[in-house]
Amino acid sequence: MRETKRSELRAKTLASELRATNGQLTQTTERLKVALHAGQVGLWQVNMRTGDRWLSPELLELFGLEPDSPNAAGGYLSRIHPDDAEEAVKHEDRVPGEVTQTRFRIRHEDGGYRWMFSRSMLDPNHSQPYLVYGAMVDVTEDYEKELELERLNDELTDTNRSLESFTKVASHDLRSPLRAIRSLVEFLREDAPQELDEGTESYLDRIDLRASRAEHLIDDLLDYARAGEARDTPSLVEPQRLIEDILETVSQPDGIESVVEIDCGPIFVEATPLATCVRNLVDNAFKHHDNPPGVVSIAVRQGLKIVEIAVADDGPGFPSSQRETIFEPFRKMHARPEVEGSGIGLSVIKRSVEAYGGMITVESEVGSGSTFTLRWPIAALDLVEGSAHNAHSDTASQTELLPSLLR
Amino acid sequence: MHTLTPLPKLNSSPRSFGRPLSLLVVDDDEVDREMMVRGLTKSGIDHHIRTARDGVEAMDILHGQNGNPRLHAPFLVVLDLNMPRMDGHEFLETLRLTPILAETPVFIVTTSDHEDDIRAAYGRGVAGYIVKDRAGSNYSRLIEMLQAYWRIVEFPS
Repeated sequence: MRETKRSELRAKTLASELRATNGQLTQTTERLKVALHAGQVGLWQVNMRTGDRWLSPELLELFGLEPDSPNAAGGYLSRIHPDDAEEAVKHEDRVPGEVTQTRFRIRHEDGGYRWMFSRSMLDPNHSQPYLVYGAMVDVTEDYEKELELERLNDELTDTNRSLESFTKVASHDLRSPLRAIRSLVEFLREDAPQELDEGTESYLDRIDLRASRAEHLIDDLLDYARAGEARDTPSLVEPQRLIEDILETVSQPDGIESVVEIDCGPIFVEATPLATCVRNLVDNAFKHHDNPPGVVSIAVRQGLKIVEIAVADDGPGFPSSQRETIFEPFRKMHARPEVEGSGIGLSVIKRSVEAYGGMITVESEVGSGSTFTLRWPIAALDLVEGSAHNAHSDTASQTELLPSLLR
Repeated sequence: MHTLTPLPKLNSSPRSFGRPLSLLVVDDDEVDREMMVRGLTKSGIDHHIRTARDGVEAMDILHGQNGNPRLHAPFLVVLDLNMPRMDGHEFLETLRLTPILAETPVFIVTTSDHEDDIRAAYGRGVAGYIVKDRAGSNYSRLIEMLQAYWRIVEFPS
């Protein structure tokens, strides 16, 4: 009697537990169903022994079929694009529990092909190591965008290559005649039977000057074309040394003083292009100063991921309306005709710093000077390894860099 | 007491010793060719110079063909890169594959400072690579260097 009661009670408890579990299961299934439907994720299963295949209603919908189409699973293989036949069944011969991912084309009911991305796995429980479960989504839109991007990228690479060979040809073919003109002027001078009169001498001087200016213009144009290439790899740079080296190489006019303020430790940057940009800014500040005595100050500060270099002068300045146009090529701002230059320097700096992901800005006021601020990204640490690979450089020396970077 | 070991006697002098500087200048720019001739003449260096407009003409001179008398060794080749018909790189490649000419010392003198050109040239064993802009006014530095090279360097026989 007691036994029966106990059994009855046990049965009741079990039944209610079962109901609860069932309810949970229904809830989970319902959730999964809605989520799969909303996410347009199709599920599939294949038995590698028998070749039997099951496709979820969502998957059939991805192919443009009715969710309950008969024989849909049987026709699955014939839907795969012939070029992707191998890729589509990559899940075969895999280790249980290992995820396989593939991308392949499937013929849609509308006649076109769709790109599918599928992830699958052999039964991880080892009980049925011939059952493969997978999930599939339609990635046509994303993948086509990706392909388009790749195509555009290839096109761009081609354009860059032909531009590079163009600049190479231009530098040779434009420079040669100019060099020849200057040589011939020289020959003429040397071979003159007597001293040349003032007029002839001045004409020869002017031929030489014009040819030499044209040579400089070609150099500047090539600099401008090359500035967008960004091909240097980063190295460790000591800001103090960088600025000192620059001040040693630029010509500092009488009466113009330079002040340097460094608030920045060693930085990991593309040393050569950075130095070129800063040198040009400093050189400009000296060159365009029209009213000595004056001061050119150079300040280096370290930001979170950038180094900020500000070059300020108390020279002529310019109207703030020209803050953007000043960086356009061939724009000569200065009213000093005796200052040599093609007006391309600032545009080269802008192109170069932007190619490395940085920026340049300027603040200026007529009569009180200009401040050019260069913001140059500091290369990430993981680039150390990458750059060592790219440059085929000595890995040991790159590794030595690390401790000093981490200090 | 230490006795000084006498220095070994120099019993051979370079094959170029006492001879005029012998040059083949290959350049499509006539003014640059002329500059070389003028420079040598002006500096008073005794020279024997032949010029070619491109690689094809240069090969004719080195082989003594197509009406060109052959240039006799030892000589130096001064080679431009950008040239029509056969450019400097092609000429150098052909030269290095020609048995009797393969070891010829060649100096590249060009307007190109492109690293690909420099690497390719040294890859084919040039004696030096000079960019025209840095050769001195009227090639003065280049001529000085060639003369010194000619005086002290051994040539393959």
